[in-house]
Amino acid sequence: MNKFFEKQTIEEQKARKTIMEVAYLSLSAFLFLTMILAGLPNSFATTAERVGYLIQGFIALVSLICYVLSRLGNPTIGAYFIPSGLLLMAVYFIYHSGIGTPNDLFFITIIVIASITVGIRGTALFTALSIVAVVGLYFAQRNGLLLIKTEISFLMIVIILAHVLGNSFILIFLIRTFNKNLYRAQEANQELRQLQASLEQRVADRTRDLGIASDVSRQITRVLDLDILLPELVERTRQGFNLYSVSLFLYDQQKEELLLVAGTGREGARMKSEAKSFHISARPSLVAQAARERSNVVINDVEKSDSYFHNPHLPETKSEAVFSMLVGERLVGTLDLQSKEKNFFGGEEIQIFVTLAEQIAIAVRNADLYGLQTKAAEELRRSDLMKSQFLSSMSHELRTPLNAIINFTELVALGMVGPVNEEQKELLDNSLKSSLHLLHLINDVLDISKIQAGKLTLFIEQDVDLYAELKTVTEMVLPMFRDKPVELVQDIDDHLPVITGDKRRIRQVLLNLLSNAIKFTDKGTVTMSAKLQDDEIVFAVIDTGLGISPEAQSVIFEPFVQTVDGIKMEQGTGLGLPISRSLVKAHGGELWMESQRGDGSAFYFTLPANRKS
Amino acid sequence: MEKKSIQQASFLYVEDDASNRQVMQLLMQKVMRAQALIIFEDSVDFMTRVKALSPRPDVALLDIHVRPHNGFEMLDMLRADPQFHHITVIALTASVTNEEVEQLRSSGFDGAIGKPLRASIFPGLLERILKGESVWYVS
Repeated sequence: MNKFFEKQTIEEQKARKTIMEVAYLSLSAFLFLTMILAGLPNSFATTAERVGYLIQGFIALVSLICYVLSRLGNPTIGAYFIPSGLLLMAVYFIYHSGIGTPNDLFFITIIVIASITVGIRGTALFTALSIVAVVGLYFAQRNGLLLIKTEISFLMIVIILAHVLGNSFILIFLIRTFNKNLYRAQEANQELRQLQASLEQRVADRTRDLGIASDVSRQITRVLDLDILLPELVERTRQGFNLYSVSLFLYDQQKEELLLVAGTGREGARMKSEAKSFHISARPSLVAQAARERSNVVINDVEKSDSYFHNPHLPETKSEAVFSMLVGERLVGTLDLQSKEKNFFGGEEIQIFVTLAEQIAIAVRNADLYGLQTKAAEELRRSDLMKSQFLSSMSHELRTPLNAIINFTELVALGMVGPVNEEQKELLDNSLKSSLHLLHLINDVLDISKIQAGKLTLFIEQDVDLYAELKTVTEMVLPMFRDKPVELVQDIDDHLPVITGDKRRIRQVLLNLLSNAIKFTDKGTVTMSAKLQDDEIVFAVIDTGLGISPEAQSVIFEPFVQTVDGIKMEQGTGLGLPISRSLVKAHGGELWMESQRGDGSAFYFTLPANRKS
Repeated sequence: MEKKSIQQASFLYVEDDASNRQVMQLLMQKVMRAQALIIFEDSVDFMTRVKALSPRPDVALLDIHVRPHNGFEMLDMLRADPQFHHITVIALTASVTNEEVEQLRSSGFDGAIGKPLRASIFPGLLERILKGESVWYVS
């Protein structure tokens, strides 16, 4: 058949066949109808001509049937069969009706059928046969061999032949053009389809690559233990990208060495067990080269490369790419990929590997940081524990002798072991006061250590009676008012609720604020107030003393900071206020101050009235 | 426990520190005029010795850092014996942290008094204990 057909897809062949069939059937049907019409009794033609036309219409009908029959068998045979049969019929018919009638149409019909069904070669063959037939018939007529004897001129024959030939050429040209265009269109279509397919393939490849990369990335962010992460990482990368081998080297800055920490397959395990490493200056070594240059080295055909170092463990490597792994400017290591295919690393996937290397670098850095952090946290925990133990034992060891000093001094001062005179008593009282101060100091240091270690815990009770605590505190501070013209004023609400909190710590705060107030007030009043405001109780300790300068106010809550006046007093530790503030905060309240130099100070703190723990 | 005064009540004090023992003795005798104070210097054969006491102590004052049995163990031994099930057991401790106080409470001590024992405060606390009040003076 037509040579173009061979290049066509099944669908195109089908399409072409349909066109052909429609054309052929239409033509045959047209011929059949016109010949039948021409053969009707009232047409323009003579009776003999009408019979001729009817016979032609009948032949067209036969050819239609023949075609349909041929479709059931071999189309090629069918295709040649029809025009051949028609040609024979035409010759037979002209033999009866004579040449010179419009029978040349017959030949043209045959040529058209040949053109459509069997292509150019068939067309040429049938054209030649038609011409031979016409010429043969002409000479047959001249010699009186035909049944109908009409006068026919040579010119007539030439016109018929020209008609047949002209029509044939036009047809051949048309069909060729049609075929060419069709072929071009098919070619273009095919190209487009191939392009689309390759695009789709590339998109699929990229999607797959990105999928693997993101899979690996997810792994990176999830696992912080490098011993688990890295082997899994290289294995996934190898499988995902269908590589021959993937290994990961980490850079040891001190040794200036790249050490293999993970490799795929048995070879990888062997290299790891051999502690395979490269010095950064090693040549030839792609791993060292990539590390040195802080870049990526790609060799797409190892046989043609002189910088390729043949690895006996990996004999099948055809192409290799090494990516340096950097965090900022710092070299973390290299990612070594090897493939059994040449030119494996030529495409755009390079960018994906670059990104992958970057991500692994970050993962390694994160894991390092995490390791350091864990270690630091562990050390911190240990030192914290030691500190707690030290504080606990110091608390006990320091206090025991101090307690004895306090007890004996007090007992002697009270005259329990014999009479003491006024001077002795005064000295003993001073000694007692200093001992108590020292004890207080130890307690404060312990408290602040706990606060700074975040270990302050409250002993919470549900039924703290603030009146009872205020009374206790008042009783404790009243002796301090004895020697001064300072009055303690109490302004306490009648309906304070029972609250939830640590009694001892609440007392501690009040005691601290009150003793501070008395310490720095020479005359006037110290007012202690407690009022319920909304859902909190606001405590205030207001004095008419020296007041506190703005500079001092800014540091007064810092541990171990004492105001100039405080230092002059030679009392206190500078810890009372920071401890008090922390204690109040631990209760869910706030502690603050207001003061003007020379105009007294006011310390406020709040405790939640409905605190539930 | 029927209410007794300090003079009527009998006390047991377990303390390994000599100074503390001396202080307690002075406080009890000279300040509070207590009549019955027994002092153990350690907790060896603790229950045997406690059972041998006459009269039976009303209040046990236990130092925590005593050997071989510490304050918590002595408490458990007392509580385990029906004869001493109801006596008042007070911890005397120099440790004043919340955790330690909480531990004392949860272990079942009836009260705790922080050291140093102040001559001006201790008698009052003891009176309250004898009245049946729960005393946690550890600040």
